[in-house]
Amino acid sequence: MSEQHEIEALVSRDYQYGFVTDIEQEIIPPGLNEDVVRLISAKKNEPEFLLQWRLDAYRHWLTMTPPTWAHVHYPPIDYQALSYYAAPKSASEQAEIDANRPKSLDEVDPKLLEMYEKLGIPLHERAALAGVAVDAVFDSVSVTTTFREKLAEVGVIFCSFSEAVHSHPELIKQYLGSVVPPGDNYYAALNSAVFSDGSFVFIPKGVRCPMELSTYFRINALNTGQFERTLIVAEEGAHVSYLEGCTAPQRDENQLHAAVVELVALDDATIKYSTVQNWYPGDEFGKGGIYNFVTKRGDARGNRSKITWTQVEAGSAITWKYPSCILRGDDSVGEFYSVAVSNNYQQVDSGTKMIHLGKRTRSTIVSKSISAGRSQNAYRGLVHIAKGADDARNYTQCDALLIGDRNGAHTFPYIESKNSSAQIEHEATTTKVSDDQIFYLKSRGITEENATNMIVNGFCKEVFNELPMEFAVEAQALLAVSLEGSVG
Amino acid sequence: MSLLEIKNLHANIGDKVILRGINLTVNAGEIHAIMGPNGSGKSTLCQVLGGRDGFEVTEGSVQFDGMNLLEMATEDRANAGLLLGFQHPVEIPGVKNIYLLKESLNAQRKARGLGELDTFAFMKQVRELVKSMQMDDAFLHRGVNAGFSGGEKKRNEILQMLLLQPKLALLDETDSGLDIDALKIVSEGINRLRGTDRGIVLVTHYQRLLSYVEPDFVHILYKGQIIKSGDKSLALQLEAEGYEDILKAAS
Amino acid sequence: MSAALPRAIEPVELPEWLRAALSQPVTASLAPTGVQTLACEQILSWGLPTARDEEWRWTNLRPIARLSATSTIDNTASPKTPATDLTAFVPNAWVIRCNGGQLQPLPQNLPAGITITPLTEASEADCAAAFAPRAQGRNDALVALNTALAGDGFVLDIAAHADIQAPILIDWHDTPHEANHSHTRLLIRLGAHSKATLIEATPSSCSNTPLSTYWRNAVSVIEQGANSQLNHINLGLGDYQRLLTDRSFVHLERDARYRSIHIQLGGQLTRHEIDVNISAPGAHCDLLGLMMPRGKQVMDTHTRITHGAPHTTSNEHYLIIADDAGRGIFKGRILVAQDAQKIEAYQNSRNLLLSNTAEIDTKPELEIYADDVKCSHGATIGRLDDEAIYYLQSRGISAANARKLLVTGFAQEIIDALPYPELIAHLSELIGAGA
Repeated sequence: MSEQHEIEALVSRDYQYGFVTDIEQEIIPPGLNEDVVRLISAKKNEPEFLLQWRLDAYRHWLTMTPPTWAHVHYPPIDYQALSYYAAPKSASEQAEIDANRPKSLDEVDPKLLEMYEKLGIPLHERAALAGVAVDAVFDSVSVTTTFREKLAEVGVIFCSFSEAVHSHPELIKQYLGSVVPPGDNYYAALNSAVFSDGSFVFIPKGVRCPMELSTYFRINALNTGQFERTLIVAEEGAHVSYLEGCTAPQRDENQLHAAVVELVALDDATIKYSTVQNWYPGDEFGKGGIYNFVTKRGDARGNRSKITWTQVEAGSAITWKYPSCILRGDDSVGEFYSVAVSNNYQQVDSGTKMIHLGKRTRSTIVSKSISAGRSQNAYRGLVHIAKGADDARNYTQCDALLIGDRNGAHTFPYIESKNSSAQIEHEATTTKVSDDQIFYLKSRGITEENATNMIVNGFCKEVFNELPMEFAVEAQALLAVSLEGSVG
Repeated sequence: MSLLEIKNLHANIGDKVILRGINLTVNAGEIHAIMGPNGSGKSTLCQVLGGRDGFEVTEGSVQFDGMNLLEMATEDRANAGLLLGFQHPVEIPGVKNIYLLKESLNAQRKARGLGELDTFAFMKQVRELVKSMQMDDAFLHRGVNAGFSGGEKKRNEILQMLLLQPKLALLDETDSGLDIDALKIVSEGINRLRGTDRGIVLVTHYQRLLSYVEPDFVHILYKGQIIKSGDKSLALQLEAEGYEDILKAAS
Repeated sequence: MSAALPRAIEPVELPEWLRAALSQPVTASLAPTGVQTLACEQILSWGLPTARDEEWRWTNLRPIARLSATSTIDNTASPKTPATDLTAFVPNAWVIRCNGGQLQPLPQNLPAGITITPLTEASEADCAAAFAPRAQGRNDALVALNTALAGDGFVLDIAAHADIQAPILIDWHDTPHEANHSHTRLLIRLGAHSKATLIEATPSSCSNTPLSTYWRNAVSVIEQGANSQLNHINLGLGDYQRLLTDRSFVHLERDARYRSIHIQLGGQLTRHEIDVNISAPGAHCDLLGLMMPRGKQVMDTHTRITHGAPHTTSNEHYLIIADDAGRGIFKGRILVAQDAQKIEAYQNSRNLLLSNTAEIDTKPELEIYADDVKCSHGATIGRLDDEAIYYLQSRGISAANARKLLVTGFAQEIIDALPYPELIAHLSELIGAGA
């Protein structure tokens, strides 16, 4: 019996979101300089402070070099060959005319609505998933945000970033760049200079957000970078659960996606941020796919605040992301739950950073990676216990599952402790799907394909348990699709 | 027609010959015990019948319920009604027992052209079985065998057997690692499966289990062959005299 | 990775005395000329590594740059505690003394099967073998420096089938010496089916004499033939002002077994690196270590185990106990090459942080390119168990003694791996005294 063969056959299913939407778009010519930064800012009618902020970031970016420490390989990116702004014409014009006005669904181009339907994200509120509000971002602009009135009733602000710049400039001024400074790293600096749109969430003091909030990112245009920026602020005692999904057309060229996500949790606030990342991963020969170079960081600023990152990473040609928590408040909690699956020629270098500053801060890291095909899948994580973090605790578990013998699974944990009362525990294992397990399940009448799916799902269970219900189901299905052809 | 018919079965692991011509017929309604010292080929026989990779059948045939067993995939053997109870059931963390039970029962029903059992009926049946095996309901939501004691693993094997109601149960050293209470529970489970339309093969090193599950036939396996067969008294003789004397007498 | 907290990184320039040494090295180095010239160019263009170089992110070589141009070892100062001769704890050892890197007269009557040849007298081929490992980049700058400047060292050959019972003890007794630094190079070869125990001690006299700073930068090349077995014990005791950087390149043939036990108690800055290349089936290595940085000591161990062949195994276990303002660093990499199937590799980094001014950094890494493997690692950083201290106190033991007992107990699993009961007792005492 050739289990290997069947496994390989299972991993190779086609990417089902690879279609291109034929819509009239406004794309600025490729190239990056101060004028382009000014142009983006002007298109969004931005206040002077934001333009200056962008220009500062741009000038700083010019002095930086791309990071080389990650376990990924790709040819140098020609930043002058990319376009930094693309928008459906209708949306773009509207944004220029009146960036201040919230978009109603009637004003959204029907072609866009159709596309989101096709992706399984209905934007009509009556058809939408109950209890999930969606901000839909198409290339560089936000198309629409659903359920905004209902959210406004309890004081929750959920809108596109561009809109927030106009409607709540004081909040943007206060929080933008306060977690990820513009010069934090090469891609964050680039994003700060040219970011186009994204979501803004503000949960006021004491409010428990009545529904899940969700942003759906879609790259459509060719040779365009996507640079969105998300900012979530939860005031004292506020709670929010936020979901993020992403897809892109199937193209032979690599496309750059360099997003920044900043989370701020004040005293007793809780932010749960979940991602199902399914950018186009490239074809079975490694051609095309998204370069996903993302900076995500949460600042658990308040005492007893809590930030949870849950991610299912299935797409992208290259993933470079480390959703992190700065545990500043005393008794604050950071959590990171991740499933990263890679197949064909995908490269993943992902993990988290837990920076313990406050007393009695606690963090948990559960990372599960599954590598198949000829992919490379690395966990890279930092646990840092600062001098003042008395009685801090960290528990980390990193497990890697190998399917096939032409891929790599790597674990690079950095553990630093400067406080003698802290306790850190890290465990990691690397194994393959065991023949004994497969045989056991087969002897109970289960096919090899199902058996492998069961084992892989079981392997990921601890992480899936952390996802909101709708996403957990989607994540399991995505995992099966991603591994199709690799498992028997 | 007999349920299981093994004729002149020879099998190797690599270059090593393990089975050297096994002949065995099991009819519906019968319980057979296969006994033998360590290294006699007991586990190999079970694995070959279960369809495990890594064993090469060089000669002989095995008919199961009129089908050529050796040509069937492991899962097809299971769905045709052969259940292999493992000596060392593997741990599969993360995959819940309840999920395994449901998947395998539905796979079998599908093979028989039946629809999926509805969840309510399934749960009712499973809960009763869990109770009869004196296990806790929480067990259903634990990973398959993950962190189980030896006794829990064996009880889990029997529970699966009772749910799947195989035509032929092939139980490899099911009694090893059991304390007396667990042995009784496991034996009761095996006796419940006993019936005119089913066969059971107990593979065991000791006579212990056979005090609770009375076999119709006892066979002694030695160096890959069945060197002696008899009724339950053979097991008692073995217990009293030890393998050595019987092996001497047989050779 | 991009540090979340800003980290000031200034380049470490080559100090003037080092540049001076490099400008006239041809006479100093024993490396083949071409190899030596290249290494010289490399180190001059690289300088010393900094925290920007991944392998040096936690260890700053500034103390080397700050060394004064000449050694100021004061021989007249009377030791605070009397020096202890390590040979007292290692029975029947063949002692090889090296002073400031210079080989002292060899012991007479070495048993059959042991041959020692100073590099100055070694054949061209042996010299080439001794200098075979090359620096691949700035992370290996110290190897390049050693290659450029290595002026002392020897070839130690254990003949095939030789079973050397008594240990060979190399006593790095770096006392009075003109220069402030030395670069030593060893080639150790075990013939097929041979067996030996090698102990390196720096220095063997466990005095706490406040010596002025002195730096030794060592490279060892260890080649083990089929089915050979080497116990390699490295004891860094006493002598708090010393800087020591050493690196071993170990190559294992079929079924060979290499076992390293490294215990570091002394030294101002120590960096211990082992690269094990398991190149044939059946070979196995055990790497065990204990570092106890106190005061302002910085102790660093980096290991790299490459499983280049199927059916090979490794087991790694390192402890750090950091107190006062000491810093302990461990980084261990296990690399399983493609097609190297049936690998079992375990790595464990357990650490005790006893003070809020101390720091421990650990990075156990797995890099795996084959699938039929069982690899795992674990790392913990913690403190002494309050419950345990309380329990001991409730049995009438003072808090200070309880702490000593627990620290010694923590270290015991490494100490106990040593083959000499006298040495185990001696080290337990030293550790208890330091705790």
